[in-house]
Amino acid sequence: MLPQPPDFPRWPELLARNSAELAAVPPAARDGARAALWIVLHAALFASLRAQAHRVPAASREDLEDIASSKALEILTRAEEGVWTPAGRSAHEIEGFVARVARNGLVDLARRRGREVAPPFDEEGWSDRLGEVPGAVGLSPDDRTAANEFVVALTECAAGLAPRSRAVWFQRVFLEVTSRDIAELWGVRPAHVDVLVQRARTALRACMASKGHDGAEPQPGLFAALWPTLGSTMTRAGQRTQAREDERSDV
Amino acid sequence: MSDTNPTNHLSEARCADLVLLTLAPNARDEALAHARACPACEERLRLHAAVHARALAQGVRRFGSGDRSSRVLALPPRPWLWLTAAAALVAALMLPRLMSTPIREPQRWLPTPDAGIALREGETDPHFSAGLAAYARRDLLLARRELEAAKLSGGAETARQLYLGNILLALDEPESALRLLQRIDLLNVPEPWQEEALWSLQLAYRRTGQEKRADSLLRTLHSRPDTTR
Repeated sequence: MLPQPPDFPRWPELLARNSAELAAVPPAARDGARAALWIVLHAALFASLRAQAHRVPAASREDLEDIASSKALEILTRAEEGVWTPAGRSAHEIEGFVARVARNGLVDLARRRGREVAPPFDEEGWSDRLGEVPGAVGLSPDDRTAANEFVVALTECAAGLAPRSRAVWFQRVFLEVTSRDIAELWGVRPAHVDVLVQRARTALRACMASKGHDGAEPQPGLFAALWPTLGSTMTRAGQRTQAREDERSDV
Repeated sequence: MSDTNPTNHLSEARCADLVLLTLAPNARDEALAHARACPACEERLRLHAAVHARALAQGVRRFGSGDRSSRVLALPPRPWLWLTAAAALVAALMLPRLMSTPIREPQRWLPTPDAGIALREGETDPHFSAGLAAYARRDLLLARRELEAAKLSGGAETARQLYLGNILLALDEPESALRLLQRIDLLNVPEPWQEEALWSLQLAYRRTGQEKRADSLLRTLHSRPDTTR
């Protein structure tokens, strides 16, 4: 087997592992394993759809999310029925399978819309397209300095919020997750989410003003600086645990 | 087909790895450092993170509530978070609350910390750790063996009984599960375990034919105030 390059996707390994776990659990007790496999399939399919979306120029993010959801469910069903299994397949093969499913989803979408864009002729054409990173420009040193000041100030201000308020605010403002979805993730009511976000915004505005950032726009680099600590721990268990910790200390 | 590219910009697949937490720490740090300096890559990552957050919520709705995502995300090492969570479990704090309206479903899972986690610093049991790790993988038979072999006391013993009871239910042994769960003072168990544990108990009652006890417990679950408000 050829060695994988360092930037080869790692999600196929997780997909294979979760698929094996699904098969190992009795059918009556599979909900957790189903969810685990489905969410990996969803993320993998969405990535693959985005990488190939040039085929359907009018495909919106919502279109791609819809395709990812439905195709993830389709693969999950096939995995449960034993029609498809990643067992014994290499990461390359798993990635290729997901890419084909994504491609079929895009082709279906294009057919429905009647304006499919011809795919590239050869591998080089694909490479050119998939290697495109529109708008990938770096920041000037001045921009970077200003952005860094803003990021440091907001990080400090956000640290003053209760953990749950901070995370809910991040999900709403940076990830644009709806109140309903945030409520689902945290096990609270949507109205409570709105209150938490509003209070967090008010507190942050006052804090940022005191640091000389009154009315400043969010800066590049802010999301990437905050996400590792605020956005990547969205497990229900983690959230619930945090929620318990700061139940009485919300902003 | 891989959409990697040689310019260190974050590919779509790299973003998927980031949100699924499947990258090695150094690769993850390198990718995030790049995102901080590259607005286009940062925006790409933000998009993936947003879609992933919505998918998690969708997954909760589609497959039910409970700890559906800890295995999905394979949390990075966050000792402070899990030690706090485990300490909270062991301490069995008194603050009952209902996290969400229970949904009738065959089985719900307890939250699972990362494999190998100690309940509290200086208080570990290899069987308990191995049992939790197996439970997280839904290797129920191994989890049962390990948890049955664990020798614990106090809050840790309560935790062991909780997980074992949940496993026995999943293995379709409701009588054994009921005997175990009835020993626990479930109202002294902290969230997020409490609601799931109460749910397990009502399920055990129902599967052993004690419908009235099950219904009563279900009504209690429904009527308890949402203390998160």
